[in-house]
Amino acid sequence: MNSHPRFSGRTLLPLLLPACLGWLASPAHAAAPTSRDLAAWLQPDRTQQATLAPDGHHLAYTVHEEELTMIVIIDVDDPTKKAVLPVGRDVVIRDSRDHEKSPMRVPFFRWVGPGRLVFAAEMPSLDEVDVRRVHEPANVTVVYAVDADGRHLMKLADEENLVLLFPLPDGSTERLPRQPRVIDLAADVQDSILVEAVRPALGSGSADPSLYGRVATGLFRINVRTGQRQVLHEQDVNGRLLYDRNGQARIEIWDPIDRAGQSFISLPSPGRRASKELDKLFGDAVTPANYLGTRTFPVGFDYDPDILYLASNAGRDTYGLYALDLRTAKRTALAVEHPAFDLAGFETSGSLPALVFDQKQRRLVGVRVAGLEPAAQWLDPELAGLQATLDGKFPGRSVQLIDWDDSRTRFLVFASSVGDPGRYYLYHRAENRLVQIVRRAPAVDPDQTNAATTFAFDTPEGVHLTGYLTVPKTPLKTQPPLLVWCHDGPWDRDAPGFNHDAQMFAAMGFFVLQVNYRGSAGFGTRFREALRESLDGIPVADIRAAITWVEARYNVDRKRVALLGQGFGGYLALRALQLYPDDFRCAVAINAPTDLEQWSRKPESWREAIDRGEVANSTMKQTQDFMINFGPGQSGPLAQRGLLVPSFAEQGMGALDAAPSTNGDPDPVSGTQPDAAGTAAAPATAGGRGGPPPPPFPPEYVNFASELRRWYFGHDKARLAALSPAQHPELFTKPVLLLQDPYDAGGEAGVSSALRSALSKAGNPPEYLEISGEFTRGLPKARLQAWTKVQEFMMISLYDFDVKIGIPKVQK
Amino acid sequence: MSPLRLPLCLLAIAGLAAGRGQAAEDAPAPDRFVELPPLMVAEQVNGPPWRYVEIPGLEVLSRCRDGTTLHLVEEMYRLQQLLAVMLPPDLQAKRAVPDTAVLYSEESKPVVAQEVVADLLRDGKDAGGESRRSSRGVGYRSMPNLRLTDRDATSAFFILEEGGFAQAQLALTPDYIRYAIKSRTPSPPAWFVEGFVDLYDAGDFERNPITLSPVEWVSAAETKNLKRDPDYPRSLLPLAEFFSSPGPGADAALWRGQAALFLRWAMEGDDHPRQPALWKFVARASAEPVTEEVFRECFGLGYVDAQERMSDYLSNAVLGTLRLKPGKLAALPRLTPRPATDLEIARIKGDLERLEIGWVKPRFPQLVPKYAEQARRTLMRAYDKGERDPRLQAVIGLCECDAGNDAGARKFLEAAVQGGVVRPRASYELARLRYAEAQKAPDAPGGRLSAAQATSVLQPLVTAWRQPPALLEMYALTADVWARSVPAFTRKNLAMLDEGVAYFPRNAPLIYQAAWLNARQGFKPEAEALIVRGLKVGTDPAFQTRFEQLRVNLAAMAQPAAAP
Repeated sequence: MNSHPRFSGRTLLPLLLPACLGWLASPAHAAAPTSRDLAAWLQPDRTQQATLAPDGHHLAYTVHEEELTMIVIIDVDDPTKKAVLPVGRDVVIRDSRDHEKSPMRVPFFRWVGPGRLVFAAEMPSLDEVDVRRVHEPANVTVVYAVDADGRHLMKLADEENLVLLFPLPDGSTERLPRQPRVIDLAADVQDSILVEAVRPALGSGSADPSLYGRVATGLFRINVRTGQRQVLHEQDVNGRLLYDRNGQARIEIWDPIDRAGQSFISLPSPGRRASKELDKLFGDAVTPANYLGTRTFPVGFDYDPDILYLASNAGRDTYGLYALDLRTAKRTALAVEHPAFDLAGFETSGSLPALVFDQKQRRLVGVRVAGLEPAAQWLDPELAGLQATLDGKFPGRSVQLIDWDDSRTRFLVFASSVGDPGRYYLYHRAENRLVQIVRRAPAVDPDQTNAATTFAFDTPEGVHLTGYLTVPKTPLKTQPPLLVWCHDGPWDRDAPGFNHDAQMFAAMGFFVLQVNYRGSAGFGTRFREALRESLDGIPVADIRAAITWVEARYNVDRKRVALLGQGFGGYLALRALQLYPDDFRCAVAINAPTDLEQWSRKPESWREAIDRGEVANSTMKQTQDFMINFGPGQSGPLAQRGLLVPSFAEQGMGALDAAPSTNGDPDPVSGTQPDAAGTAAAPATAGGRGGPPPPPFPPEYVNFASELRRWYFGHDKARLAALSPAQHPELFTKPVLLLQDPYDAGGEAGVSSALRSALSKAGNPPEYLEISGEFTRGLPKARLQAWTKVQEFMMISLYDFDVKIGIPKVQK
Repeated sequence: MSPLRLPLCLLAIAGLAAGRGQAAEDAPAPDRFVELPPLMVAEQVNGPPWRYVEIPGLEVLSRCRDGTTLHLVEEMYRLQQLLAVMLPPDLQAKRAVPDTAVLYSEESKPVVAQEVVADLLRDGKDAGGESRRSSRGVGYRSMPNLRLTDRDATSAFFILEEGGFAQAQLALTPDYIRYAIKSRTPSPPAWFVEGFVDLYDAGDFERNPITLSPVEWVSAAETKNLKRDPDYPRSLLPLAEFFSSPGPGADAALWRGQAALFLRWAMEGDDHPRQPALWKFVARASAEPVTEEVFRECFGLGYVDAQERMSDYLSNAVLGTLRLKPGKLAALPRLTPRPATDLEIARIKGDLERLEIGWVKPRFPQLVPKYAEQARRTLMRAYDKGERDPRLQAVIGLCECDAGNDAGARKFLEAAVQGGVVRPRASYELARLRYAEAQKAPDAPGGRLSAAQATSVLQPLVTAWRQPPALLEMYALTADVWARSVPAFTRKNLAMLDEGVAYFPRNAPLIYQAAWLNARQGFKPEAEALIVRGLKVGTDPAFQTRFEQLRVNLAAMAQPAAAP
């Protein structure tokens, strides 16, 4: 027996890693960061929102520090006058595994009038909720208003005062609390906001198919100075409601809780008929088949309640934004389009933040564009000019106009970049002066920040790829390794802006490459749908092309390339490692599906027989016809023809005419009067009135994302098996680390463990770390724990520490 | 104890140490000081003897006690070394001619000549400094010290109250710091000059390390707010705007504060990692227009990145001190003042008195003859005794030039240059006189100078060219001579003008001269580059027109525009 037994580097890693890293850190390079160093990158942003009062005299922003969320209001003309309002402390969500505290959120933060700030405080729930199952806690939201001087703090809405009173057979009433959600300012009534209250309708969980999944939805108009509430609408709906700016429910959006998918139903409102044309325009349903194809959907109303804004990719590659005049059922001249980026996602959120309105002038003034960096297309020439001026003052930064006063002399500006978390400035236009108000993340030391940049290039095959590259400021080696970070998807993308995690990995000494591979969302239909040609081959080819591009321009160590991905990105990381073991040294997969066949193996329901393609084709045809044939010719978005996928039959609905509504009665529901307490009485029937008829078949709750995936991936078991990492454990010749949340909401836990089992059976067990929901929620301790494990894994895998005790060395 | 202020060393010594506080209280606010004529000290037969002492870069002529003189010299030597800690010698003015200082003891009661006082009283001039009452009840105050500068040298006098001076702490005045930076060629930009002056002014040089007190930002109130609240909003000028501004604009306090903040930020940090970048940047900003690219090449940061760091640093700068370790200062060689020679007295004191003429001329024109007479008297006393030292003759020649007596100056300047004097301005003045003479009788056709005439003029200019500081007029005269001579020079010769343009990068006339000469000689790329530069610098419409016309001519390779 050898008197000096060899030990695996992995076994000794905890003891030897510091020594190994120290070895790497030659005098010319930095020492590896400690956990404390890494933790600094993962701290939540101190300030996430800021808003300027319409008179320009006050400005408010949120602050999170030392586990406390606060709101700060300053007098712009005398910043010594400053009010600080503690809003809430971080709390541990009940039943959380790691007991890490979650910060509260401020989902609404706006001035309502010159001197009154309204904000919603959303606290993670302390209720008995099994967050391991629902993943996201049931949050508790309270809406407040406060004066500019910090006085007269008033609770406007909470679950108690938006309570639904349900009459019981014994004559008593049951109080059913509902969480508030601020929709917007009320356009027609001064000093008022619109607040929606939602809870599952009574009987929504019963076996009665007509009640299944229905939601008791109320809309309240609340005066922010008096607190007086008025019920504008009460209805049980199967999904959500889209309101106009006066608080009238105009469109009901059915969530795709059953196989019929998502539908849009035009609702009547006082003085307005329901629009059957609108129903036709939006089609019968959103199905997995048409979800990714040609669609038109509503995104919000103008101050003119007869102008509805639409997102559509009909006849073009990227989503543009348009407007429909409901009086004439014709499109207006508005057409906001971008040749490279979608101006809307697929989701019908009901209020698209991309639309920017001027409160004073009561009109749409611009559209925000989520390109490689945040940008805006201004419809207002004055704002366009101002944007150019400010861009000139911040070369290398993305400048966002957040707010402005009514006189347009003071502008709240946020300047940031992919390498800078950003800071808020107030621009005094008359004096051409910028005043820095607050930094978004002061914990991030600019001198330690790693340079980060966007990139765009065309591959030799002519594919236009974009992404982000973060360059280590203090590399451990002269030729730093490259970490390829694959985003989740496939219908997702790398988000613009400062990336804390990428910075942290760069601080570990990696170049960090993020590629928007084909299949990513936001870059048009062709780019997104190109993935279907090969679920793994196309994105992996793009990743390799990006690596080649980086290698030609940066001093990366091509022999040390690691992969990391989450969800579908984790799948890609694994596949890339399987397909190109000579290109990559290791892979980390987080909550990744590893067996596509198993992932898609869900029992088909009784509605499987429905011809999805027929429904999809019908929907796409009618929306395309409408967008092409209606409205002034010069506003048409339709320069492009011939979408690649999916194709559809030539059986369109033709042009829509402005046909009279079949229901011209005013909506009796909207006339509901509040009781003395401002609470609402439950509708007499669970189905409500004015809504669509209940679905004719017993519903089956399905996860639309899962359904979409199944449809997208297809049913060819052999093909899916061939594409599945877990089916080919023998292809793994390089180390793998699996990070898995057993309660992952995506439902991939089982399929991730498939690979773990397969590799173990093959005698090549992967590294494994169980993570928790705290990781998914982005809580810093959970992420640090996971990333520290990744760091250890990477260091061993990339540098092949083959260690005798006390004598660390690197093997090529 | 707060330090005293030395202008070049020459300082506000009226009332040292103990007496100084009271004097400061009694004195009017600085902006209300009335400039007064300097002392005009006649040689007193029975006065204390002149003593002479010299250190590198400084000659001192003193009528103080040796202890006082040495204390002053040592302090000046120390302060110069400490200045070099903050400001690299490369960014300070270089002069081949040592500075001179004339020290008087307060005890010897030097006075302004009675006839000067009488003149002042007649004209009803006010006075400051050491207040006295005249017989007519009109107050005046003699000037206690003054630094006077020529284009190639500085000279100063001051009156020391010897009783308290031995313990006095001295400091270089902002005026001297400004001069030391601005007179460097090429001249650093205004933001550096003013920023550094403020930075220096905040320094405590009696402590080791040098300690710069916390920054005062824009106003006392703003500073207080920033100290209290690190989130207090702050406004900085965009760096592109700041670096391109010729000086403080509408918001002078902000501009000035930002100038000091930028320098302080660049000098901050353990081991001062940004300092080399700063000096490199200042050197480049002195010689060429500042762009973000230049900034990035020096600091590795873009404008916005740097501005954000400065903004963040501001919260620390208003609270904390900046410490600069001077390292080990060079020891002053052991000095022993000795009796001054007649030559030294005449040369140093005479040069001072010569410069006083220039100071008096715009302020008290009626006194010019008296000051000129005094200077001549001092200078000629040694000359008449047979002294023919080139330096003395150079001063006499310059004195005559300053008095407008070119004819009288010529022989002294010729002799001085012939004797190898290190006095750039004397060489220039001689060239100027020779040029004027040659122009009266040009030997070459077309009213041009012959090669011999040109050489005669250029020869002293070449001498001056080798001696710092660079003189704008020397380059201008060289170009002028070439322009009006039979062209017999090469591109290599013209490189001398390239140097001139590099030293005076914002001087449109010189750039035009250089461009014109290059164009005439057919050096097209060089001419074009100079035209481009001139168009950027010469914002005056007339110059714009001239440069554009020159460009047209150059494009056609026709005869260039009329000689400048």
